Amino acid sequence: MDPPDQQLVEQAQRGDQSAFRALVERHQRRIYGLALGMLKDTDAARDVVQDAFIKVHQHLAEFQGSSNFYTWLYRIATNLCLDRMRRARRFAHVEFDEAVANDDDDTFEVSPHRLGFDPARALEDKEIRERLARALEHLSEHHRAAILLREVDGLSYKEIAEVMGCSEGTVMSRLFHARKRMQEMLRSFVEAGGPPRSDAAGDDAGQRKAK
Amino acid sequence: MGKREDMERLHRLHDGELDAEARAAVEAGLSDDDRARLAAMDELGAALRHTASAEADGFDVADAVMAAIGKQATAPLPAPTPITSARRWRARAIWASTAATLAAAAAAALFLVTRPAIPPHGDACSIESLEVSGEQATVLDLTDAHGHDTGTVVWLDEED
Repeated sequence: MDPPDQQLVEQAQRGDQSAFRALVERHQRRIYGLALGMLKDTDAARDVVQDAFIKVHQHLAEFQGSSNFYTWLYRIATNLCLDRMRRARRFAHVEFDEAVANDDDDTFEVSPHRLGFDPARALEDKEIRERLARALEHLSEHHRAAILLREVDGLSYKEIAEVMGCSEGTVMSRLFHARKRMQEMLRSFVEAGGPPRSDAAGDDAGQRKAK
Repeated sequence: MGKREDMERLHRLHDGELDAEARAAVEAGLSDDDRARLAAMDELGAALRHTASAEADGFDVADAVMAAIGKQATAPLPAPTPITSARRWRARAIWASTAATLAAAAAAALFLVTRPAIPPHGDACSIESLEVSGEQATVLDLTDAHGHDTGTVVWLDEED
């Protein structure tokens, strides 16, 4: 049986590099999935994963074990992603974020209609992946982080709150909005016959705002 | 129960955030639309998970991370920078300005501690009262502790 994270962390704190490597091997793909979902850039996501583990190693002695190792790791990786996104933020995204932030429909009502995706086909269906990527791109950075941490990484509301440094209520609000927005975006792609071009994001934001 | 509360419960049910009792209660009251909403949420979550999993498949940076960590551990400490004349003068200037600031602070503290207490001055101001254009006014002549005039204030009392 694989040793738990805490045991590997303690070994790594005593200088056992193979224990730290085991932690990297265990968590790297989940962190990469999060970073790629957030950044939509394979090189940037790879850099974030490496930087996150290097940072974790540098501060390993300070980790007391009061929280889960992976929560701590996710927090570092999420902050690295958010920093990059803020630096690279484009005008179109700011416009859309405002639309999301000013959304006065706070019922969190999701549609009862399925989109007709076959999730198992995601591996070979480039169109599904592209649609999901575009829909994620149209979310604000915090909404994007919330839905990825929940749906992809399976973190609880409490863990997401710890990772994002906010209350559970804020997590719920971000997650529910993100889910609703993702559904709306994906439906609009399906109805339009494909994902919008990324340079159409601003127009889309304007239409949503005017709605 | 409001629509918002209903939807919140549905999201929490989907996310496994309800305890057994609450879960049973919510599940017992689900409408067909609610079940369809849950299925739609499942669909979205599964699509995100499968996509992330497909994209992360084969990703491996363990070697690169361990190499970077190893490089950091064995990197020689930066060589001490030789002290140039300019740096030496700059350091002296910083020391001099720090010493001057500390001396000024010490002098101020000494003054505050050793200064004679100023007794309350009973005649700090004298007050006169007069009529100004049919209204009441008060004149305050302000003086310092040594009886020197420091200013005059005329206070007009407006009548309603």
